[in-house]
Amino acid sequence: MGRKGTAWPLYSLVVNENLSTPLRPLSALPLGERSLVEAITDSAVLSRRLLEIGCIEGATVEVVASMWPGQDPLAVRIGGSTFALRRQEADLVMVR
Amino acid sequence: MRIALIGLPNCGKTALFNRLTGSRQKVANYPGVTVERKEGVFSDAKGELHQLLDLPGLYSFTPTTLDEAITRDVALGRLAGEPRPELIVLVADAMHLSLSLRLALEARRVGLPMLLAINRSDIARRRGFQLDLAALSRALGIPVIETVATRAGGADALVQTLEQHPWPKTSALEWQEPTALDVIAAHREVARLLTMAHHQEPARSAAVAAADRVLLHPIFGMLSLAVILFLVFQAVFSWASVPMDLIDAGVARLGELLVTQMPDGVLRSLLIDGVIAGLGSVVVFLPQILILFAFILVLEDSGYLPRAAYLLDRLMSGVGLSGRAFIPLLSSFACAIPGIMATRTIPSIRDRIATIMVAPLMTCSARLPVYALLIAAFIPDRDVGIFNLQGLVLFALYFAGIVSALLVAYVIKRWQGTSDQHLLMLELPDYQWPNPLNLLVGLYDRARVFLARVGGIILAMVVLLWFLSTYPAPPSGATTPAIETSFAGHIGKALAVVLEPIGFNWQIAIALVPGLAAREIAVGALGTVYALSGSEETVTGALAATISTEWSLGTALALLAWYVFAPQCLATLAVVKRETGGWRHPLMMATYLFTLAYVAAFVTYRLTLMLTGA
Repeated sequence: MGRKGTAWPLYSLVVNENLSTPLRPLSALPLGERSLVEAITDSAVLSRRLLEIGCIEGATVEVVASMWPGQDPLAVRIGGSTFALRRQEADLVMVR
Repeated sequence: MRIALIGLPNCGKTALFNRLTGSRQKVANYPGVTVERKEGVFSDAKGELHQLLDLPGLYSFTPTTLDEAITRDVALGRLAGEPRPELIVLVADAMHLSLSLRLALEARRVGLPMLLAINRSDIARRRGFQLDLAALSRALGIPVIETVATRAGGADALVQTLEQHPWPKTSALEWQEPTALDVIAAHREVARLLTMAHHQEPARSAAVAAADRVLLHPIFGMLSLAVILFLVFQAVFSWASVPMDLIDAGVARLGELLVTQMPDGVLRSLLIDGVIAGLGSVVVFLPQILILFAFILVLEDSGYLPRAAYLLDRLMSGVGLSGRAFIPLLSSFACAIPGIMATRTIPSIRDRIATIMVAPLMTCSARLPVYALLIAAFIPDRDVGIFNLQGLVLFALYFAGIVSALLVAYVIKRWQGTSDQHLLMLELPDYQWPNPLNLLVGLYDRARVFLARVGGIILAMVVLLWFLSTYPAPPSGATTPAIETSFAGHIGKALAVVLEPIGFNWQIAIALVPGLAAREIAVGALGTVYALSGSEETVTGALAATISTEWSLGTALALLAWYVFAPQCLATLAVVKRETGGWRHPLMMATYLFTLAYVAAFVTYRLTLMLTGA
């Protein structure tokens, strides 16, 4: 953690203790709430690219912005980078 | 040595390329595709010359776009006609090391010797970045150095390593596409390597997050985008007027000089009426094109463009396009050709085709001279509220282009039927100050391409038009202007039969033909056709007066409506053919543009006749 802003590790070594929270898609994550990736629903091309940009189990994610209407697309912080994801893409990422 | 630069998009690879090669670079295309191939040369301290290839940015060797496929194929030596590089310089961004390192692990399996350049290390170190380069180098088994592409001398360490290191020969590894499990394993390996090399991640600037809270906001973000676009167009029109007047005056001076210095004759007529008037009318748009591209380059370099794509994705997905289409469409306001070439970053082939098909509907700068001429001649210069009527008409013409593009895209997507998986997945890189060297190199490229076009196809067409309008010479004692009996006169009168229902006379018909080479020639052509001569400036000035008495309002408005679609641009159609790999799409494009142009002009003409009671 830096003093100016925040630096996040790509993976957190902290085990997600709150296992009672149900699994939900990244697209359902409230704005500004940080969470950890649990799994990626398989969908050939999309899930492949999600893995490549660092969306793997244990990666820190946070929705930093979303468009109106229908919260689509989303701007998501994944590890140390920010990506614009369509809702359809964010639906594939399951977080707790 | 043949060296290839490989790296993630936005890693500063192109800045490093510009730093190393300066102006010693050439831009072309890879054989068979319109992916830009940027190559340059530089020499090391021993005077040895190296060829440097700037490959398109990629996230992995499992491509989702044409750009990424090219980079993989070049690295693997699979692209026909492109020799395999002998060394990879993998450019990593110190601000985001992990994704770069994962790419490096994949690139290592390609079987080429590799060097890891950690770029932007100056900014990163100021933000607390730490890394044991030697440890990382030992663990990876390749040299690791730091570069600062934006600073003079910032690539010296890279050049020194190139000289000193004994590079092994290319090994003949059998390439296998990594599986999803390989990808995950590589991420874990990166984490292990970084821990071992005592990596300290740089703190992210709080300003970036704060700026994004505004610029990505559904309301304030859209407002900011509107203001930015408004400023861009304002600048294109107001800042360009001074250099444009200078070019105009220079062309006029040159014409006058020739009039006084040369004997009257065929050669003087060719030079003044053909070459100077024709080329002058085109070169005058260079300032506007450069200003628009300067803005595009700055917006791109600063990291804003992908955010604009994010903001507009929803709107564009409404008609079936991806937000990624925003960047190519914005470039198309300067010229559809670079716009169409920029569609290569759109992953879905259908989205890409739809974007290509509507790109010519964005009002390119070549249509401006036609609009300017007609508006000056027919639209009264008076105020409507706080707006100027002429300005409003110009805005309406741009707007008509955008609206038709959305409609056409919608029809194309409906017609294409079931849609592909949509990938937006666009990185929003941290904002940074645009790099002046990148800007200069980019503008120099644009100016060169534009002027090459002026000296090539446009010059040829202008000379041809001059020839067709001058010969055969009229019979002695003829009272009609010479052009009526020339080849061009006959062609124009034949075409006028088809164009008469939409209000075009034979003079317009002639002017539309050379406009096939470049739309803006139509203005110069009309000047020639109305048997005027002299400098381009007096041509335009007198031409406006001539047509305002010769044409009806209906004809003028119909021609404006025609130019919203302006189907006649061979260069665009040629690029579409090369880009889509066949005649099908360019033919479809020409057909729909001609149809829309004809219908729009017809409706405009008839409505105006009805309303004015003529």
